[in-house]
Amino acid sequence: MTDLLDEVAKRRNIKALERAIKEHHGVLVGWLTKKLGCAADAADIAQDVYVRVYKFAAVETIDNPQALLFKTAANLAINELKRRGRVLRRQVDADDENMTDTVEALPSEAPTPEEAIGHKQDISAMVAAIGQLPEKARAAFVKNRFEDKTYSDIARELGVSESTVEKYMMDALKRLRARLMRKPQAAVLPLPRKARRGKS
Amino acid sequence: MMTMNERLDIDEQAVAWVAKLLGGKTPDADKRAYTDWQATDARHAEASRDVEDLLASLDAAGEEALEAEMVREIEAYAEERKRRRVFTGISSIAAAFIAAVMVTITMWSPAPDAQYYQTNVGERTTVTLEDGSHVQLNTGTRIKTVMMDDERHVTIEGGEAFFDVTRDEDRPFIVTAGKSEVRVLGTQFSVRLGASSNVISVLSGLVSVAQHQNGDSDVKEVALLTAGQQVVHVPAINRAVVEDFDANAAFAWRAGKAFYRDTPLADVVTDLNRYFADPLEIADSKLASLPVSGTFNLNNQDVVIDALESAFSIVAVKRVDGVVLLYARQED
Repeated sequence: MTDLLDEVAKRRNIKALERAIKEHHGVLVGWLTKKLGCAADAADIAQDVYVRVYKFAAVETIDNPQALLFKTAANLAINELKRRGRVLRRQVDADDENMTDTVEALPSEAPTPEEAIGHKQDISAMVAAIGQLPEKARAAFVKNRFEDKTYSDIARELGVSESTVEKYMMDALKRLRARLMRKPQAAVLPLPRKARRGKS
Repeated sequence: MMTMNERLDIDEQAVAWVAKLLGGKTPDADKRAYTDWQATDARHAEASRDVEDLLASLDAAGEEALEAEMVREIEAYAEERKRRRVFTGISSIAAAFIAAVMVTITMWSPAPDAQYYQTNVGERTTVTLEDGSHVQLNTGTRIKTVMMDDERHVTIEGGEAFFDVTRDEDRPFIVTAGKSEVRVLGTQFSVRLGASSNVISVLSGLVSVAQHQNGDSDVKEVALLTAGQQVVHVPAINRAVVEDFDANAAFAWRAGKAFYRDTPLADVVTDLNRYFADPLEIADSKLASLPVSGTFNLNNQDVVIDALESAFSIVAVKRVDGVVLLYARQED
C-alpha cells in the first residue's frame, strides 16, 4: 500500500522508538507508579504504551519518539484514572443544561460547520489559556478541575498549605477570566449552547 | 451607576467565592454564605454566574489540558531522575571498583581469608591477586580465591575467567570449576564453567586437568594440556576431549569481542546471551543451524544485532519484554 510507510522508514522508526523506550522505561514506570499508586498497573500501562507506539510507528513517521512516549503515557494514565473515576468527566454531565455534550460526541442536533469551527477554536483557546497560567496556578487548577483532587490532595502534592492552594486557584480563575472573558458582563467564549443552536 | 472599581470588586469576590467552594470539603455554612452573597445583589448573581459558566466551559475543554499537564509532570520527573542518576551513576562506578577490589570474608579459623570477585552481565574486569597473578573475569562471573602458604586456590562459581599465573614452584595454583580441577605452576589459560561441561583452554605453559570424585580430596587426572590445546571436560560421564583450538576465537572475549567460524546460530545465540541483559531468541527453527562466521563487538548489543541482520538473512524484532526475536527474512 502506498500510504503505508516504506520499509526503511519503518525500520528507522522502530529503532528510534526502541532507543527511546530503553532510555525512558524507568521514567515512565516510575511516574505511572507515582500517579496510579500501583506498580503492577504501572507496568501494565507502560506495556500498553509500547504496544501503541509500535503500532503507530508502522503507519506514521515519528519525529520525536520521546514526546510520543510521554504523550501516550499521559493519555493512557488519564484513561486509567477515568476508569477509576478519578478524572472528572463534566463534559458529559447531562444535568448541566448550559453545557454541550463532549466534543467528540455532539448530540443529534449537530452544530453548524461554523459553530463547530468556532467550538474547536474555543477549546484550543481555553487549553492555551490554561497552559499559559503560571506554573503553580496551572498545576493546582488542572489537578482540581480535571483530576478531581481536593485542595488537601493538591496541598500534599505541591508541598504547600491548603489556603495557598486556594490562592493559586483564585489566581488561576482571575487570569482565565481576564483572558477568556473580555467584557466583564458576558462570556465571550462559552461553548455553543443548545439554545444557540436553535434548540427550543 | 456602579463604578468600574465596584464592578472589579464584585468579580474578584465572585472568583474568591468560587475558589473557596471548589476545594472539596466546603462546610455547608460557606455554601449558604455564598448563596446569601449572590442573593444580596443582582450584580453578585451575575458575576458568580459568569465565573461558573467560564468554569463549566473550561471543564469541557479539560482533557487536552490535563494531558499537557501530565506530559509536563513526566518531563519534570525525568529531569529529577536524571539528576538523581548522576549521583547513583557515580556510586555505581564506585561500587564496580569496590566489587573488583574485594569482599573479604573473615573466617573464625586461622585459615587464610577467602576473597570474592565478580562481574555483572556485560561487564569485564581484571583483578590482580596477592601473588601477582592476574585474573580477567568475563561477563557474569564470580570467583573465590584463597591464598595459602603452600597452595593458591581459585574456585569459579560461575562464568569464565582467564588466568595469567605468576610462576611459583612451591605454591601450585589450583582452579576448581565444578568437578574440574586445573593445576598449574605458572601459565596462561582460561576456564569456563558450563552447565554440564567445563572448557579449559591453554595459551602457554603446561596445565593438568583432573576430575573431582565424590570425595573432595579424591582427584584423578584426565588431561595434560600444552599451549594451543583445549579440553572439554564432561565430569558426569567422566569424559575429557582434548583438541587443538583457535586462540583468536577462544580468547576474543578478553578484548570485548566474540569470534565464530561456521558456528551454528543456535550456539552463537547461546554464547552471545551471556553478555546481554536482553536475550536473543531464534524465532524460526530453520535458523538454528545457520552457520555463522565473523567477529562481533560485545560492547553494544545493537551493533551485534545490526551485524547479524546485515550479514545474514535475519530480521531482529524486539519484543516488548526486551527479548530480541530473530526471524528469517522473507525473500520476495
